[in-house]
Amino acid sequence: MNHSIRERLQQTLAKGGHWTEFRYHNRRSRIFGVRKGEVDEMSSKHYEGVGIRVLMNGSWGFASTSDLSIEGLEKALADAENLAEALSFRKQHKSQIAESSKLARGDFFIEGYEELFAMPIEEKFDFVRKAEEQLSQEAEKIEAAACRYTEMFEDKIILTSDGADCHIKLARPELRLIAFGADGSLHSKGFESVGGTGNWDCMFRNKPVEKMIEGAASEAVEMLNAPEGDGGKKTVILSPAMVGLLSHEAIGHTVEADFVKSGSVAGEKMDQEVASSLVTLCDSGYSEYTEGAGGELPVDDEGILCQKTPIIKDGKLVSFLHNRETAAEFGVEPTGNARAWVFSDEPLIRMRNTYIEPGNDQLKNMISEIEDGYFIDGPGGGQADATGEFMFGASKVRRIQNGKLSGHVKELTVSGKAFEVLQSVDAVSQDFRWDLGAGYCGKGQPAKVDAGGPYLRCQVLVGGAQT
Amino acid sequence: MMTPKEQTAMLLKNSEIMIDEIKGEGTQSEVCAQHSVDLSVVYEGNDFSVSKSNTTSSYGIRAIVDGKLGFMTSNSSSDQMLREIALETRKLAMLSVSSEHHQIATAMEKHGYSENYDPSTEMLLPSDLYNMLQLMVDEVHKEKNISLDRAEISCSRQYFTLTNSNGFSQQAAASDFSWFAMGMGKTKNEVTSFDYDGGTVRDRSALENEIIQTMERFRQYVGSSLGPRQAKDYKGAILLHPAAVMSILGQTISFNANGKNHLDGISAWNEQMGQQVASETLLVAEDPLDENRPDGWSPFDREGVTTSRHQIIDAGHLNFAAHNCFSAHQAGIQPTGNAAGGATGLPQIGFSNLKISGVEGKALSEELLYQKLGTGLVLKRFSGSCDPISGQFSGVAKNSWWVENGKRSHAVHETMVSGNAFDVLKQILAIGSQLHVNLGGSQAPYILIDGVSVTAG
Repeated sequence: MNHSIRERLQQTLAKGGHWTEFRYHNRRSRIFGVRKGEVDEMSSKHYEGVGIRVLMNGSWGFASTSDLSIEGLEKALADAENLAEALSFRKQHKSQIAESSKLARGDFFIEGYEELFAMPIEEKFDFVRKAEEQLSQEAEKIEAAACRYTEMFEDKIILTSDGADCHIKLARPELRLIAFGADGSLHSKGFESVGGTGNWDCMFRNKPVEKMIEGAASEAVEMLNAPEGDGGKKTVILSPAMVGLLSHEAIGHTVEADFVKSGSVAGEKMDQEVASSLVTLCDSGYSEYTEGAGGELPVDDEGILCQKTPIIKDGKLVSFLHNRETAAEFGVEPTGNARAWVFSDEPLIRMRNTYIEPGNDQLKNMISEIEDGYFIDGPGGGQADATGEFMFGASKVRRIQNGKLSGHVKELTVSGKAFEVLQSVDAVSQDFRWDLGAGYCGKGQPAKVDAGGPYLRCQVLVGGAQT
Repeated sequence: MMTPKEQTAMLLKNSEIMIDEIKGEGTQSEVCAQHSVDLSVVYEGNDFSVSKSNTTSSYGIRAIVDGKLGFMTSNSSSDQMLREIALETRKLAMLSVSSEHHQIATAMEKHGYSENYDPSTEMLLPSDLYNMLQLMVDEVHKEKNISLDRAEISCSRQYFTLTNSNGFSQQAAASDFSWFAMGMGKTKNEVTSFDYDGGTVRDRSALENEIIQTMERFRQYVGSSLGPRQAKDYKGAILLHPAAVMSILGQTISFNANGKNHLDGISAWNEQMGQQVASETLLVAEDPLDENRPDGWSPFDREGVTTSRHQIIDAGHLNFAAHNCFSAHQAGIQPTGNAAGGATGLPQIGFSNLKISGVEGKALSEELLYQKLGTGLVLKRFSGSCDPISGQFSGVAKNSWWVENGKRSHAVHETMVSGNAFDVLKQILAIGSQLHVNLGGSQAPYILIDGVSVTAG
């Protein structure tokens, strides 16, 4: 099937007179979910189509189709060309694309696809049912539990008129567990999630499911009566998941070249010291340090081989994240960050696996040196903007008093200006963990990403109670 | 080009192929089908960026075999594929476990074809849309200190059908224009937080005026975010902008008026029907039949149940809980027309065109709300998290400003807010009389709430 599609794509591509990109995308996904003993998801999804992008007279046109016949592809190509031509009269600055020595050719199949696909549905569904049952019985104050498993099988062919010609296959499984706590009028929730790229086992690289169940249940119970934390500027230890969120939200977005062009605060900081010298921050298509990161990507959606891109090296800003258009504009190599969610989306600059490299400190020493602060874990949602100001929610927060971890407080939000927070980093642990593999980044379209790092000690603004 | 009725007839024909393929004893089935034709253009990095067209069809089939649930969705429209998908869905259901509550809708009294459609959209040229985008850009750039990160306008024509093995079908056609701008204030020495605004209208004739109004509002908000100063730490009253009302209160109300969350015991309003859950000055309603809000317009829900207007909170008292067929069967009542979603997923529970307002005669002008606040924070955009289960919310006040002695004083930066949504619903001090439309959908006024912690950076 794919072979014949590839031939049809090649045949249609040959008819285009301009720089053209064809992206065939076949996605199969399944979701199994159980909540309070009832099956609420037993779903399968299959979407298949081609997105065609044309650069004509310095202007972009994009059309997509699920009609995979030669006629359907030719019509979509003509639509894209017509739109590009019509828009070219409005464009003030003609777009160009960077030439690259990293055009992908060949097959790029990440291990685990066939194995996960072949694993019986019954086995996966049974796992979900048992996990939900176990979680619901984990503690007396658990009123309800939910477990949801999702798997996505991605199959793409990318062809460009300047020579990219590749076939990519990868699988991404995810697991989510929620415990709902109740005690009289008090309600709470505890949450654990994991996601990766690869086979079934990649979901349990950090901890087995039993530990996830225990974590979700204890969070729900502890949050029922937890006190509020104090607001203000605090010294904190960020967990690998929170470090990942900081790297992604607070830094990663500000260095996306499209955002830089629009006025991001990072735009004027290239080659400057923007962080403590202890900080090296990267975005990578590879799963660095440990296997199975959820944003792993061998080739981006413009057919560029993905790579590791250091963004901050020893505290100095050294690179932005680029697609082929911004790479041409900034006079650099594309970094393999062009990604589209489905065939009907055009590629945008997106992150992959974003992280801070581990350092030399011991976590226990980092905690022991804090007189009054917080240990922050359990990432909730996160956002950042052009100023580099970020916020993210945290649901597993413990006080640190006189060098020791003490009780939990209610969920809270931490905030700060990204580069100021990174300047305040004074310790980086030796550990490393990918810990946001179940997360999605939103920027008009979703994108599957991961993020992580070591434990980090820094200063942030904590949104807590005032008296 | 097919007429809207011909488009929906084609969707129905394909849906019936799928239902016929798996009909038999013990099997109930339902097909939700959608066909959409979209044209859009994007402005990015201070220039026109890309123009896009997309035509797509989706079919979502739900099979319930002896009480066991299976669902499959695909964008294929070939007869053979539709039949294969139907058979696969039944196979998937066979692997599931049975529940008496898995149900499809029974025949409706009112069913058939509905339309909220502007035929002139069929003649729309790409250049017409480019002109409208240019208008957006020109309106924004009347304030020179705004950097427009992204602006987009699209025209969409959508056709929906819902048919099931109980022998009834619903069909609808709708069209809309929607637009969106995101940008920040920028001077030589300063970049502000980004803000966004936009809208949705059905009629092409109304588009230009609506664009001018929303972009003028966007321009004013972003322009006035420049020159932020520090706020002050305090615990007390803050004034919620309508956008923040929806982020904090709207989300909490939607979750806790969800009937399934009541049945599962995870809603704080479980067993509180008829009881006071908010200030007696508060009204909350939904109106899926409001044709002027095309984004949330839906004459029937995701399961084909006919929709109607609902008063969710009446003078502070919980008056309504939303149900789809599953939760209604579990509760032993009729479904309420609140099955949410589209062809790409199973029916969930949700509200359309939510409207939050104050009891008539008790709502105040915005000037009086400022005076009642005295000195404190006006929260425009809430960038944070609000847990609808515990009610805890905490986040950053973006594009927000400080009020001193009842007058706007200055924009604020690095200011955080936290509190509990259930508590503040009961601690509403005053509600504005003027409703604001958020991105063409939900409506809310300014609301003055108490008991919020404000932390200045």
